Amino acid sequence: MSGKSAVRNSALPHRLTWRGPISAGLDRRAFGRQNAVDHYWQAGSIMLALFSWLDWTIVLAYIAAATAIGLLCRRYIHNLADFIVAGRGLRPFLGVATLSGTEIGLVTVMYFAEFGFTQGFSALAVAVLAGVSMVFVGLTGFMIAGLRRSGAMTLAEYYQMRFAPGVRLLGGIIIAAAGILNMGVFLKVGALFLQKISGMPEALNLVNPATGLVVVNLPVLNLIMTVLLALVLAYTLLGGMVSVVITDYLQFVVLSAGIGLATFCVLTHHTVGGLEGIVQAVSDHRGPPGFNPFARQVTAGGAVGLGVVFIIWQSMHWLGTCNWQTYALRTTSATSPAVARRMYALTGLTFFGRAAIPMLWGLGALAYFAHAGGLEAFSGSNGLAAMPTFLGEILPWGGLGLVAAGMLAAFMSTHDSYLLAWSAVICQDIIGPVARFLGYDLSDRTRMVITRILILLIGLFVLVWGLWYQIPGTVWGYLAMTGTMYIAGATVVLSFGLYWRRANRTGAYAALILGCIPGLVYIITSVVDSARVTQANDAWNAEAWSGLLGFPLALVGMIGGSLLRDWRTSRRRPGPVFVVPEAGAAGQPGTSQPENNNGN
Amino acid sequence: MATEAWTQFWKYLLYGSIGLYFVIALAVAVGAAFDVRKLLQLLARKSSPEQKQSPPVSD
Repeated sequence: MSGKSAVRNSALPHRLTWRGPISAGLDRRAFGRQNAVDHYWQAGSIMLALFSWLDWTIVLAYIAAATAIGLLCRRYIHNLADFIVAGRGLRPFLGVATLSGTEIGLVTVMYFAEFGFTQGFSALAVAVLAGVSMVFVGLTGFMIAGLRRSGAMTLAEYYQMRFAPGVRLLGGIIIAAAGILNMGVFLKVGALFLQKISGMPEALNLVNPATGLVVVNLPVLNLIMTVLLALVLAYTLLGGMVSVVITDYLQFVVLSAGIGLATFCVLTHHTVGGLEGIVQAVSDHRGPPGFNPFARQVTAGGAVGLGVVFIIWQSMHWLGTCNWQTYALRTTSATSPAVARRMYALTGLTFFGRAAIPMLWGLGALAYFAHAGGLEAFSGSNGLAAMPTFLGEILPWGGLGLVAAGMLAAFMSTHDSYLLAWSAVICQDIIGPVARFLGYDLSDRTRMVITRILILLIGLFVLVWGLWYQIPGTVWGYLAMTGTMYIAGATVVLSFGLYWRRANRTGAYAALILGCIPGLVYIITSVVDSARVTQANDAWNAEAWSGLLGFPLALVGMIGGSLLRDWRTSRRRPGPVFVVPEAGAAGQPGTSQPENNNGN
Repeated sequence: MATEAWTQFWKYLLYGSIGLYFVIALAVAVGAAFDVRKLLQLLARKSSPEQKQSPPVSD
């Protein structure tokens, strides 16, 4: 079997049981991918295809360095503020490195590459929206400056300062639920990347040499997921935010080197044919919607193109993304509101590249398989495997290890931050207030223990959800939808809380609930009947409409709810006095006073 | 906008964003190295016996 046709076959789900010796140091190009992945696990030795000893050395050295740093950071953790917001000592460059390191996750690379592969150049519209929104937020300080000034440690804590403890509780539940659901697919997608790029088989068979019978059959994807999770849990549990920001820095450097090498190889590979070759492939296989993001075309093989509704939804989504808990944690960790703004403006500039570079890899994969043949193997949900399979083919020895280490870095930096972010929300914004209501005052030490237990539990959930849930469309669609469940309500509540004096808790409750309903309905429906949701997406862009609907609903909830409460209050007690006191003491978590308690 | 115009637009955007990303990445990598040092100094100072006071946490 030729190398090229072997590549196509290896993208398809199959279990491999190859019986025979493997010579060390074989040439991977000559050997061909199919032969390369057809290895087996015998007598405790794992033989893998595309990785050389150099690749493995690079990957293992990186893992060792990141874990060691994470463990060493334990000595700097003395209290909850150190653990969750790194003692509020984040300066601009480190802020950018950690924010970029977190937000350029392996899952990010995978979903943007899949998006580029399936949507052609039109996918780049998302890169434009992401970059412009972040730069706008950074330049204007829209929402982030007020949030940082408030002194809140989490977004939900701000809800309590501005509105009421109940809003904090509800907000915390929605933030945690949406965030954990969002994170649910990270592990599986990351493991898929590593499996494809390293050429690991679908399953490892432990064979009894005497009888030749398969004793144990282990799905490799599940194994990688478990190992990755164990790695990330280890240093997040021990080091907290200090370990996260410092390993994020290392990860940012390794990731940037890996991204640079991969981009160079994609643009210069002869089969891809440079940017001209990519343009030709998009024109041949995606048609006009592959260039015009406002166009949408339904074909027999599914829908191609984004459409106007999707673009509007994404504009709102990206503007509100600064409220996403992992972003908000960086905002609250900044030394001042001005630093937070600079951090966002700079990060926004990298956000063009954050989306555009993986999309270029996806476009390169489209051109590669279009020119070499075998594009049909990556139709439908197999599109996710196109980019890592492509990189596994074109990267040289050593380069494969560097890119894999970079992507592993991306995976770890995202996971540690997300684990910390959601566990902090549950501990600080759900368990803490409920315990206080019941008459228990949790100490710093107890909170840190609870946060660590939560990190472990969330990790286990992510493992189970990743194994079980089937995404009804692109990965980006799923992530944007779960994100919108939280972002729609959070954007409205935070922005109105900061800039509209008449906003009150009734409006906040209504905005949070209404903002998450469309996304929740979409996710529940996809759990019940994934195939039907996929059909609805192709037929009438159900995903974009569901996502878009969350924002106007939250807006109506906030304005309607606030005015209704205003009206009822004025009927009972005319002439309410609105007072906007000075913002709380920045730099001291949780010591700020409410900015405005009107209507509560 | 015609497909040709879109193609040119995306090409410029791709090259621009890739270039911008790596310029900023380089600057951040250098600048952040100093920030890491300052963060660790700050945390080390906080861990000294006279400053081991934990700030209160609200809920």
